[in-house]
Amino acid sequence: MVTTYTITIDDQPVRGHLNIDNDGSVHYHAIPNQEFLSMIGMVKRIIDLSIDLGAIDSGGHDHSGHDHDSGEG
Amino acid sequence: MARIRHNILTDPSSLEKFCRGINLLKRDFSAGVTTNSLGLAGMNLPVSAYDQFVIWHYVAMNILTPQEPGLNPTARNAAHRGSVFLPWHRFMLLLLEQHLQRVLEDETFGLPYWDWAVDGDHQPIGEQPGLALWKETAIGGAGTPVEDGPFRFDREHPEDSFTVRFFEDVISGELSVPLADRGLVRQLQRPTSTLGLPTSQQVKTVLDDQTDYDIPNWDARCRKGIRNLLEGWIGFSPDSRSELHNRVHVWIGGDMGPGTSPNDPVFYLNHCNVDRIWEAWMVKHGRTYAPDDSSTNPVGHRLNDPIISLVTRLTTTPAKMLDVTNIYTYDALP
Repeated sequence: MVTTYTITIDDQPVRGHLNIDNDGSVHYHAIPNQEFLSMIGMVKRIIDLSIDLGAIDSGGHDHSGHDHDSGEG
Repeated sequence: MARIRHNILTDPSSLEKFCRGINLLKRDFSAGVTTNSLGLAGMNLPVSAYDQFVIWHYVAMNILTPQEPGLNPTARNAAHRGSVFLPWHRFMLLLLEQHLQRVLEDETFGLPYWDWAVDGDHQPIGEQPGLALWKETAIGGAGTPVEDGPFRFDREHPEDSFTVRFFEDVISGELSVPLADRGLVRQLQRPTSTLGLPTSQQVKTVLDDQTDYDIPNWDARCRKGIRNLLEGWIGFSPDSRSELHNRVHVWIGGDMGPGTSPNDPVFYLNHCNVDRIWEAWMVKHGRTYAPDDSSTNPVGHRLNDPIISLVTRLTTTPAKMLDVTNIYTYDALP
């Protein structure tokens, strides 16, 4: 079975290599040390990390005291 | 005579030399290496000796193994989520150690390790980000950017600072250059997380309970084997799969998150400890490796498959990485 996803964040396509296991967990090679319980959790983590590393603008959203629950496994 | 790798928190000389050597390598452009000469398209930028290792790790992360039609193409990459994980990183550390010896002009220098399980045993967990490694007198603490310690970023003097020159844009998956000078980003235990560092009991589990190096299907779904347990894909609790090596990356966060994680020098302290645990396992269980060279096993992860580096023309194999006791030993094994 082959599944296909199209993911965009602020109109930017997410283009790293994705792996979805038979149990539904998600691994994204660009964040190599984590797995996620859902695709939504993975995208939340991509957004958090992109803001932290200055790859995208936080839009004034201060990340210093929290981050978003990514449901990481 | 084999050099000795020491605990960075109990050997001040190793700490001082490690930090000084890393900063020298960040400023070492003597080899004339550029992004184009490393095979990367786009702007042709000079690459320091240190950043060659960052780019090598990123590139390996994006080489998927296997690539054969009909098999899951994204299960493993050339350095992770498969059997080659431990020997690949042993080779990487050996090459970095050689570069550090060169700039330090000290052939006896051994890469230090951070015994993170000692910190992982510390209670309460919330105090772990304040332990000795993260002090200004060691490698500095958390920050966006890190502003203390030997790898600090000074906004007034970025030219004299430890700067991140290449990082993986996790949206595009591409190697990127920061739009403006920036320093390291470290979180040290993300705000919503109650997870601590790995513990000594978990390390004991690796050493006592695992008799196989790796098992089919040689990927992150294996339920046994030291490689997958130590890499961190086998959970110690039902809802966790970021353990041991992986947990350390996730716990530190920031630049330790994407495929360019060697940007943070603590990457090497983590992997040196992982290597030390692997060495302890081999002393106890034998210098064994799997899979063998059978054609049914994944290319790039077999016993005699080549491990290729961007920083040298030398190659190695997992077989050649099993016994390096003539090159280095550890001051203590777990």
